[in-house]
Amino acid sequence: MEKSIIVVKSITYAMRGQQLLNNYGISAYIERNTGAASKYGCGYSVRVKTSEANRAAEILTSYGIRVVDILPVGGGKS
Amino acid sequence: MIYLDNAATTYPKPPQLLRAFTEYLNFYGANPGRSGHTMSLETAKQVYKTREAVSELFGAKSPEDVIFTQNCTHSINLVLKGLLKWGDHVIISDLEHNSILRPIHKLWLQNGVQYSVAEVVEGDYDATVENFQKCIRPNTKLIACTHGSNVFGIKLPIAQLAKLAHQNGALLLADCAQTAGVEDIDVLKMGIDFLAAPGHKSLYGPTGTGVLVIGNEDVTLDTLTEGGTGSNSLNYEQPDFLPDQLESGTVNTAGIIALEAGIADIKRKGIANICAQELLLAQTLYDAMAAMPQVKLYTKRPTEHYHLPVLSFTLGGEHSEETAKRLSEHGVATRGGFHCSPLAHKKMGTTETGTVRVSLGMYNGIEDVRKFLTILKLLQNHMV
Repeated sequence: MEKSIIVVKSITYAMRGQQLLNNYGISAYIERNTGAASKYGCGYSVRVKTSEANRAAEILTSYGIRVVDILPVGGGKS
Repeated sequence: MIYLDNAATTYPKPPQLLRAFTEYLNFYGANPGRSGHTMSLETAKQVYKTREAVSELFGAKSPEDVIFTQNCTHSINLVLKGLLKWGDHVIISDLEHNSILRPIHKLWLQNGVQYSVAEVVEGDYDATVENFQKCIRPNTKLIACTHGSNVFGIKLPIAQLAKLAHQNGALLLADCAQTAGVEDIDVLKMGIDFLAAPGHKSLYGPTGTGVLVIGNEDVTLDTLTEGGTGSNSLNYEQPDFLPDQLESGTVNTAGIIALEAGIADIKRKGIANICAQELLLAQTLYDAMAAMPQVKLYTKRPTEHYHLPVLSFTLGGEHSEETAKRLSEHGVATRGGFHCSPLAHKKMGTTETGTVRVSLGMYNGIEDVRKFLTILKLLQNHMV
C-alpha cells in the first residue's frame, strides 16, 4: 500500500488533522518531517494512504489547516 | 486550616493532579513538538489534549487559538504589548488588577499609549457600559478590563463591553483571572477578542500555567518573545501561525498536563454547580458578617448576576494585614492588604487599611464558613 505524507505547519495542526481525518474514516499517523519534507525545516506531517491523500488534504483545508505539501513516502515531488 | 484564599490560588487541587504529575514523570518526559520519537509525540498529544480542553471550555474556534503562557499576567502582556502602538487609546476599569494597570501605565509612560479609567457601577451594568462609552475616543483601540474584581467580587458586563468596543472599531481583552472556571464563558458568543486566564485558580491547575485564548483570528499580535517553536526551523523569522507565533521555547509540559486534569474535574462537577455552591457560601458569610457590628463590608449582598464569591471586609478600623494575621493564628487563610489592585482600593476608600479578602473555592463547605464566622466573632469580641 503506497503512503503519502501531508506536510502541515505545526505539531498542533498535525494533532488536529489526525483527529479530523480519523473522524472521516481516514487512517492518519503523525510523523516528523523527513526526506523531501525536510526542505520545509523541522516540522510534522500526517501520513495517509496515497489513494486518500487528496481527499485528506481537502478535509484539512476545509477545517482551516494549511497544507504545505503532499509528498509520497520516501521523497520525490508531489 | 480553613483555606479562604482561593482568589490568590485555589487549594487544595483535585487529587487527579497527583496522577497527572506522576504520569508526566513516568511517561511524558520528552519535549513535545520538537522530536519525532514516540515519547515526544505522546507528550505532544497530552499537550494537545489540554489545548482542546481549554478551547472547548471557552468556546474558541479551534485549539490553535489557545496559547499556553506562564500565568494570566503573561497572557495580558502578550495582548497589550503585541497590539498597542504609539497614539492608541485604551479604556480600563476602576477595578483593575496591576496585571492590566501596570503594563498599560508603562506603555503610557514610554510608548505614547493613552488610557482612560471608566467607573464601574456595582449592580448596574447599563450604567457601567455608559461610563465606558463616555471614555471612547476616535483612537480607542482596546477595552481591557477584568471580568470580575479580585478584591470586591464585582462583575463587569463583558459581552456588553465587547459590543461597545466593536461598535467603535475597538477590541476587547477580558482578564478572566477570577471568572475562568466559575462562570460560563464563550469567547465567540460573547465577542471576546482576547481572553486571559490563569491555570492555577478556578481551573484548578498548578501554578506556572496560564492561557491566552484568541477569539478574533483576524487580529495579529506582535510577538514579545521569539525563538524555537519546532516549526519552520530554517526560517529566520518567527512563524506567522498560532499557537507557534506566540509560544516560543519549550512549554510547561508538566503544568499543562496537570491543567487538563483540573479542567476535567470542574467539567465533571459542572461550572454552574460550582458557582451556585460558592455563591451560597458567600451569601451565608455576608449575611452573618453584616450583622457583626465591628465588621465593615464594602459591597452589596452577593448575587449571581453581579458578583463573584469574593468578599472584602475590615474589622473595627484595624489594618487588614493585622486582621489577616490574627485569622492566620487561628488557622484561617485569607489575604489582607491591597491585593495588587490600587485602583479598586482607591475606589472603595480603603487605601489606608486595605481589606481582608475572603475568597471561596469548590472545596469549601458550610463547615468552613461556620468555623470562620466563629473565629471572626472571637476576634471581634476581643476588640471591644
